[in-house]
Amino acid sequence: MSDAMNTETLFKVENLKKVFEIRSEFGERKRISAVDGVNLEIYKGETLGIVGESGCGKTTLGKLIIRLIEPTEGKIYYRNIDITNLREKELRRLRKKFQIIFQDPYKSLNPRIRVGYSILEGMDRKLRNEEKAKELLEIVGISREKFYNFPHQFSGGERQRISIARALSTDPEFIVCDEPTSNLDLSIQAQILNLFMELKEKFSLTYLFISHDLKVIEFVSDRIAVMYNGKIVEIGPAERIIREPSHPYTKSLIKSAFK
Amino acid sequence: MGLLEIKNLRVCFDTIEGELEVLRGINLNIKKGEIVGLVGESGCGKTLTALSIIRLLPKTAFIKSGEIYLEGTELVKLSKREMENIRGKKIGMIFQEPSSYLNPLYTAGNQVEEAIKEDLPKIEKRKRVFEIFEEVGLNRSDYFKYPHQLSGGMQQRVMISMALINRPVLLLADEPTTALDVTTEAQIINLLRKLIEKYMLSVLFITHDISLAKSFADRIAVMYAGQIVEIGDSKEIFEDPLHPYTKGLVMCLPERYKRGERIRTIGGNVADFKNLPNGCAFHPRCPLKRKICEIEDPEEKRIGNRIVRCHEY
Amino acid sequence: MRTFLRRLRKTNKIAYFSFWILVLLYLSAVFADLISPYPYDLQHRDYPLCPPTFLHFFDKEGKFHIRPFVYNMKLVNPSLNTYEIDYSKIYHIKFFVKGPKRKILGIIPSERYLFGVEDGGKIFLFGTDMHGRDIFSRILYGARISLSIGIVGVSISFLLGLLIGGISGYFGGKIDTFLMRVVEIIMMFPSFYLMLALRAVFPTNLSSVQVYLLIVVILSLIGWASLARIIRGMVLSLKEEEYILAAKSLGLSTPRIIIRHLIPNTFSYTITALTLSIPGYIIGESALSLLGLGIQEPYPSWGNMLSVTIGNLRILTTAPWMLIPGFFIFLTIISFNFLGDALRDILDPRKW
Repeated sequence: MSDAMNTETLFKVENLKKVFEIRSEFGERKRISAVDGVNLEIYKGETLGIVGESGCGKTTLGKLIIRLIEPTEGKIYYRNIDITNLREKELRRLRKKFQIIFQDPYKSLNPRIRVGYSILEGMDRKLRNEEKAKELLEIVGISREKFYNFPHQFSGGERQRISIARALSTDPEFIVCDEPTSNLDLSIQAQILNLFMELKEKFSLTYLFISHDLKVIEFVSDRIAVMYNGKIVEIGPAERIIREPSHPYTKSLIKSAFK
Repeated sequence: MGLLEIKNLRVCFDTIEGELEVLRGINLNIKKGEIVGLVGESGCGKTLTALSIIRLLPKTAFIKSGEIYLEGTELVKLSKREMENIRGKKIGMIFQEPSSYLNPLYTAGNQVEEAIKEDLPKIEKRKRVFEIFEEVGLNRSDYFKYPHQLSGGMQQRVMISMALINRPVLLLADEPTTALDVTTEAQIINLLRKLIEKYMLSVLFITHDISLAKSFADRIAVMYAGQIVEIGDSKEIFEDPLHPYTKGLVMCLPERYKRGERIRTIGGNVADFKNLPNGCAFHPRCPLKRKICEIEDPEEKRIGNRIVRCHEY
Repeated sequence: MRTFLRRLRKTNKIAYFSFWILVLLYLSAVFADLISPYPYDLQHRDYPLCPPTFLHFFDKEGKFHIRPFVYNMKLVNPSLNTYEIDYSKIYHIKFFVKGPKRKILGIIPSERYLFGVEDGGKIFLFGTDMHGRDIFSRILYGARISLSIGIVGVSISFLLGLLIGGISGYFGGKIDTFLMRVVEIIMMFPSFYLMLALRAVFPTNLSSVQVYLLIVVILSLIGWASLARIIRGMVLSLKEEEYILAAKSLGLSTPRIIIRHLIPNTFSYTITALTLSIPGYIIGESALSLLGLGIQEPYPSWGNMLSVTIGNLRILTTAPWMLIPGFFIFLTIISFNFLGDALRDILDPRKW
């Protein structure tokens, strides 16, 4: 798919950290390091898979990279621009270029807004037109007549498609896919994975694909990064990680997954 | 005679629009010491099947017709009290989210102790709990812990203890590892294997993960829209699926493909019970659809050691 | 609107009924000067505390009249205020009768009244008070005060509460802490006494319009606090919902996210809370007027119409129709309650 060596870097993070402060029932404050010093480069045109078990920080990492949540420490670069401390106003312009798709299709769409309008929202005011939004719906496999329907009139798989259409509405070049198929049935998951691959080619997208399912990660990723306890313990081309893992955690993960 | 025999089970829901049939003629046998995997996608009725056996159906559901035999005793006709005796003693059940099924106000040990049906002095009961804890890989100190102080895997072990402490003959496991991490899942599966062998348990293992079913179960029953569409030996079913739905499911697994290849999917959406088509429920999505599929619901046919519900055979 | 009504009727027949009762009450308030047979301050000196006049269709000889008619009352005992029906003359009900000049809705001058009786006849559908004023007319005019104060007051509280609650919930941190402490301080005061105290700060002889505005302002300043807290709570939980994060990732500005995504999703709860709090405002006004601190005579409000009955239990036996304003307060409040209860389900788009 893509030669990891020859391409430009879209995103680069240095020593990225995110600490959450939680108050337990007894009033004591606990600090949880969700992401604990991550260094990463994402190359244009690739699908970088992040795999790990629940609580390892992969979802937090996904949200950090596009600054949906603020890092506690570290730097984020988008195309060599330091966006770590960029003010929200300037960041907002850049945001169109990187989008996110969430895990729970039942929560990612505003239940009170018709799906067509959800798709229109992200578009630049001047470029906003219903026709384009309806086209996007068709591209993701939803009939355009359903433009005016509400989210609850769709199944989980269909809602996920709509979220994808919404993500595409801003003409992005990078999409964080946060466990997009984990809540879906097997047959629907297959459809959505196919859709992801199609769209990647059609729109020249770069993906950060997060999942706990090693088999899905193996199928979609060019490179795989394994996360454990907020750190990346191993990263490399997909085949190598799967066939010849070096880190003991990676090894145990693979052993459990491919029984 | 098998340990568990379900004959033509039909279960309905009482809705505003009338009776909605959700289990539409389930036939299933489990032999002693056998693990049968019940696989299917969400809403096909697999959990409901287990709940019917142990008679813990939701208030709006009821068994319309059919028989369930456990070691020769017919269960559907039993009274509430008689069924209470069977529950926990002859049948044990474990569920998907252990934290939801454990009472946060009582210690782990307390809850398992409470599950003991035999009338024993407290010291004896506590001894038994310690014994089973050791078997499932928990420490004595875990007896005194509250559920929120235990990890997901440990909570599941507590549930397993509760289900098995009375040495039942049948274990119903409803997606017990779906909420767990991959490594914890492997541990729990190994534990279950060990216990099943040791106590000659018969197991109905419900899961949507067909690869897991293949490696864990002896036989697999595939469910779609409230019916079992295929039953057979797990490895055989995987290598040579007969029913088009089974075939479709097996082909949906991403591990069968190389990166960049297109996965062969089953078109359409999962069946909606309120709008089931005439004839075979699967026909709108079936690549082998024929005229008769739109009219007649196929019967179960035996082909070798496989049972299939399809007009193709 | 049509679908709303259809849904309301299907879900809850009582609420549907209540909705129309409220519509009727509010329309009567708006068109009070058209509907009421007499001006609210017209004193019929010969008829103090007169019982309600009944409409008859059959006269003493058993003859049927298509037009309903009334008999006059004759005062027989001025000290005891007892009356006797005077069967001597029949007064038919007429429509668009002439009467004292006034301006309908404050703009259209007219001498015509929707219904009334011929000269000499009196029609007191709800009886009269001790000044001889027709209670039916006063109820209609009083409705203007009592019903509108609820709506106006609640609207102001709503806007304040939404704004403050929304900001507090979305931004969190120091802003949230500060705003919530303010809210708590306001909520700390027992509202009724706070209301009295605030009213007492101002002179008692303000004009009616000024008093009205003052009451509205006082009520809304007290009421917004609890609403703000409710909204803040909802915003806090909604903030983490994924479609909010999605809106942020799409590059939408913060005010837009709050206004378009966050707040509309609090509606199903807030509209219900609002509808259920309107009765509180109505009672607040009634209480103030009851104590003489609200709307002053001669302008009627349901509250001040009841004030004369205080301490006067004899009223129950001698002139029970004086309590009719209480019935209307009750009717309004209970209708709002039924309606508010049903609204919560109806406004949830998931049920559509």
